[in-house]
Amino acid sequence: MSTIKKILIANRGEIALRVMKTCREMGIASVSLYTDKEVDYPHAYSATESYSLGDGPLSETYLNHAKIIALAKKCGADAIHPGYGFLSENGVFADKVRAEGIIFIGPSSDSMLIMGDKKTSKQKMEEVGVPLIPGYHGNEQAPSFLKDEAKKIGYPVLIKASAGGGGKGMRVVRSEAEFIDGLEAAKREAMNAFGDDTVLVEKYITNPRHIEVQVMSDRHGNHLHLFERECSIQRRHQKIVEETPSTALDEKTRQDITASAVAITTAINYEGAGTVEFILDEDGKFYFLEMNTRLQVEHPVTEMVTGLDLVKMQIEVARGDKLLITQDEIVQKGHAIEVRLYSEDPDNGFLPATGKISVVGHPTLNGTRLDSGYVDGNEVTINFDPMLAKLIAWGENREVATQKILASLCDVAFLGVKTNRDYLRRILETEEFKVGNTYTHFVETYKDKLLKREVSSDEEALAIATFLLESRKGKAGTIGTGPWSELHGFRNC
Amino acid sequence: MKKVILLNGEKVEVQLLDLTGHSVSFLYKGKEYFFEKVASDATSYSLKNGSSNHKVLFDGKNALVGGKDLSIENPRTSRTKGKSDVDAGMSAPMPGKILKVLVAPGQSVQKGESLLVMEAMKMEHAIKASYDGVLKKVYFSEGQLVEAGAALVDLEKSAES
Repeated sequence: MSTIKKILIANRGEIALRVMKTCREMGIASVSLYTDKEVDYPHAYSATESYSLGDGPLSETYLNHAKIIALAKKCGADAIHPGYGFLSENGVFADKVRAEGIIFIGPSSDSMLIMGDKKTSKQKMEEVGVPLIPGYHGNEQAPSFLKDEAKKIGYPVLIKASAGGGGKGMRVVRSEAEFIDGLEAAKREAMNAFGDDTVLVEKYITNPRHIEVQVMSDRHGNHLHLFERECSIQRRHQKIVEETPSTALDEKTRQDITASAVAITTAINYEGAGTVEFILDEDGKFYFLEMNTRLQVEHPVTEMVTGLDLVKMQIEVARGDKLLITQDEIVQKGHAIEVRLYSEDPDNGFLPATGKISVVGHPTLNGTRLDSGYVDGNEVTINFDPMLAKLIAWGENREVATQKILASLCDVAFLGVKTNRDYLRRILETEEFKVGNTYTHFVETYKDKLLKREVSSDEEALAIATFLLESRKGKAGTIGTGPWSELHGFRNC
Repeated sequence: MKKVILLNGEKVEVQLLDLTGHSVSFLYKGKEYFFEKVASDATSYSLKNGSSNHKVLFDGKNALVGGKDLSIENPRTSRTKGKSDVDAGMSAPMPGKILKVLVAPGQSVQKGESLLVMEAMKMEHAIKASYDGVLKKVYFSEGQLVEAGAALVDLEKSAES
């Protein structure tokens, strides 16, 4: 068993801060990285030590293997935590790190290699006997051939980048006539995002739900699951609302789906944290989608209902510890929901928004948490991911957790930049969300219920009053009185 | 005293009745309002109207009221650009790169038809025709970088039938 006294975090933003938090709790020194344009962002100055990666494209900064490893050696870090995205699923990087005698907090490069490519992962799943969605996952990439395959599978079909993730390089094609256009767009996006335009084609399932299982394994043969998360509510294949437990699983399905996830980690002798993603159809049948060999953006909801710290467990198994907790001891208590705040304008085609954040704000209710990489005064630019923050709430049941999110969304201001705040509130306030009719096409299906809501004139009057009072700030005056009626009917936030 | 305020980019009229350091009364959309400022820090305001308490976050320009975002400015000091002549639907929504030009000058296009594909924030955005018309000019070619708000095409509207 090795010891870890100092961890270099090869990431930025909220996830870098998330890892720092656990480091502090465990008495481990943290090292953060930042680019020259990010000196004012909290990940750049909240670690025990931090180093600049200079400036330039990602390949010169957060994706630069040599620079990051050299910094880790220079500062004497025993381990590197890759966060999510960036180098988190890069087996070549993991091997380079380990070759220098530094612990890479993550699975073996073999596991990453198998799971990192959608094609090889599916071949492996066939061996393990985990159900797959019908499709073509081969190497032949000629457009006419793929078009024939799509016809065999039957429309609608989904075209996806083999190397992909995060919705990039993905297209739904509903008829043969649209196939070539969709294929070209998917290939272009795939090439731009991953430098590889290999795609796969598969059956597109109507009314699907996205259910994923959090797994955690040590190197001593203990393979645990931390139950499911439902992340069905997505827009352009980007998750926006995540929760656990899922309303769609009965006890039998929950047992089956978590057992499948553990069968996979056992079969590939997995180590560390991971997420096995499944598609659940209307009949309760589930199909393997992919496995992410890293910490997931939405991991906090699992932490809220299990009471476990996933980053702490990652660090423990990375240094060779045995998982102390047993499967029977892991239980789902209550309900947790996460919403992702993006800098975008939902009422104007979801155009990405930029600007300077004057006030971030923070949730104050019990059982709420805000994971964000921004503080007051930070600029939102087009250089990085448009996710501003994750707001998470725990309640004894789904209704309570929902209400806590709705109330807390009013506390998380992000003044100065357009956000999807009200859009998130509209989603959570629909009857369909309340009864758990959450499918991956939710926002498309119910788009009429998610339309812009007008601001009432009373709400406008409050803003005007503040503006007028502000214009008089610092000036003395007298309190006026009069026969004015009270305001009623305000939304209670 | 009549005051004109820029609310969410639109001019609105307020009849100011009284304004002191900690209270304000005014007429807005035919209704009389009176608010007392009970407490405030740099950006958080507690206003009282009779016995009802309200919290407003305000940074001098942007306000959050009841979970709704509003922008509010003095029109004379506003730096918000006025609406341009170019249809916003056919200008670059963000700084980005033109990936593909799908149409050529002289071509007739229908409302909703994709004209160009551009990449911004690592996602592809299709720029679609806002109305039926004949394309007079495409201002950019594939691979070119564009600024936010740049007009991308000159599309002549078809005569209404």
